[in-house]
Formats: sequence, structure tokens, C-alpha cells
Amino acid sequence: MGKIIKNDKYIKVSEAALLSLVSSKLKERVLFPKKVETAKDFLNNLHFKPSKEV
Amino acid sequence: MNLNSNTYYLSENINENNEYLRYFFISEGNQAIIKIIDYQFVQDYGDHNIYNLAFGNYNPENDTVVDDANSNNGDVYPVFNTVLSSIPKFFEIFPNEKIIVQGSDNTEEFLNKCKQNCIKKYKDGKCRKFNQRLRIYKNYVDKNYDDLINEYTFYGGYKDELNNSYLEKYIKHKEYFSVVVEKK
Repeated sequence: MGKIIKNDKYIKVSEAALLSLVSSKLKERVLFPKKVETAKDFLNNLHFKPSKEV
Repeated sequence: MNLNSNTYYLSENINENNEYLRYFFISEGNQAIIKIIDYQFVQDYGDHNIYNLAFGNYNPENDTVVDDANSNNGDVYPVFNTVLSSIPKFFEIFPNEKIIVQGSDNTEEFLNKCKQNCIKKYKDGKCRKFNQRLRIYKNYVDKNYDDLINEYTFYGGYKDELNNSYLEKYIKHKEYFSVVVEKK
């Protein structure tokens, strides 16, 4: 993780540290549940498979 | 997919149960925006798992993720290239799995909103913005198809009026509801 600098008003973090913080915050959350549902819906309603199995 | 130049730094995060693989980066256009590329496990299909590729913005003020924002941040190509650059990374980790890509603007809900709010772009029963996001990915695939098929196999997904889904070997320039890609 990158460098974190603090003063009275702000906390300055490196890009890598910031992205790591966001990543931790979103841990275990499904971020786009609607997309997962539409993908499931699409895959579970498949009526035709191409010659090579998908 | 050689996109080493003109891409943003990616921070990688993988769930220990392989439920998702995520990449985070900062879009540095007119303003700094935190972007997320999300490969979320959908379900297994035969001997393979399918992951949904989604892309959106993270808003740290209200801790939300949205996939339908038009950022207009002035850096569309670096952002697009960065998203594409994550695909080979995905296949390095999951070489036998598949990716499904769907637009966030190809739903009935989107169409109804367009009908109500955007008369200019909704003409003759069609919304010109409908499925625009997937079209951007498709344009890239269509343009580079002959090179890409050396490494990847593409399938195009579509639906009929009864909501039945179909998947076929990808046909260039055809409209699709979704695109499925796997590594050869």
C-alpha cells in the first residue's frame, strides 16, 4: 500500500492506497446485481447452442 | 489486445472464492473519477464458469456504484483502453472461463425512460442511445476481429419477442444483446 500523509484537514493518500481503500470498502458486495440477474436470465433461457458448445 | 499505451494504472482485487475479480483505476480527465471494472461470477455452464463484465463509477461521497453514468470526463479512449486491457488479465487468472458483456442501456427500463424524457433521441419507436454501450465494445471487436480471433472466440447473444435467448457464433456488425468471449 502507498504512502498516507495526514494533516489537520486532509489525508493525502497515494493512488494505489486510495484504490486499495475503495477495494476494501466494496469487499464482498455484489456491485452490479441487476447485471448479474439479466445475465442469469439470458443464460437460463438459452434455446440454441452454436455448433461449438458455449 | 495490445493496449499497453494510453491506459490507466489498474489496482487488482480478487475474491478468495473466485466470486469476483475487480480492477480499480482513477480516470484523470476533467476531474478525478474512481472507476471499477467488475468480473462477477454469474453461474456455471457445463464445465466452465461465466463471469459478467460490468463497468461503473464509484462515488465515495455516498458509497454507491453506478453503471449508467455518462461521465463526460474528456478521457473516453484511455478509459475504454483500460477496460479492454483488463480482459487479458482476466484470462491469465481464469483461462478456462467465459465472459459475458451486456450493455447497461439495453433494457426495457432504459427504453421507457428514453421514451418519456428524451424525445429528440427517441424516433420511430427506436431510441438512438439504446444499446450504445455494448455497441462501443462491438465496434472495437468488429474492427479488430481478424486479429482477435487468433486468441479469442466470440459469440453473439440475442433475444426474440418471447424473451427466449439465443447464442451464435459472432457475426461482425450484427446487433447483439450480449457478447460472450472465451480464450482459445
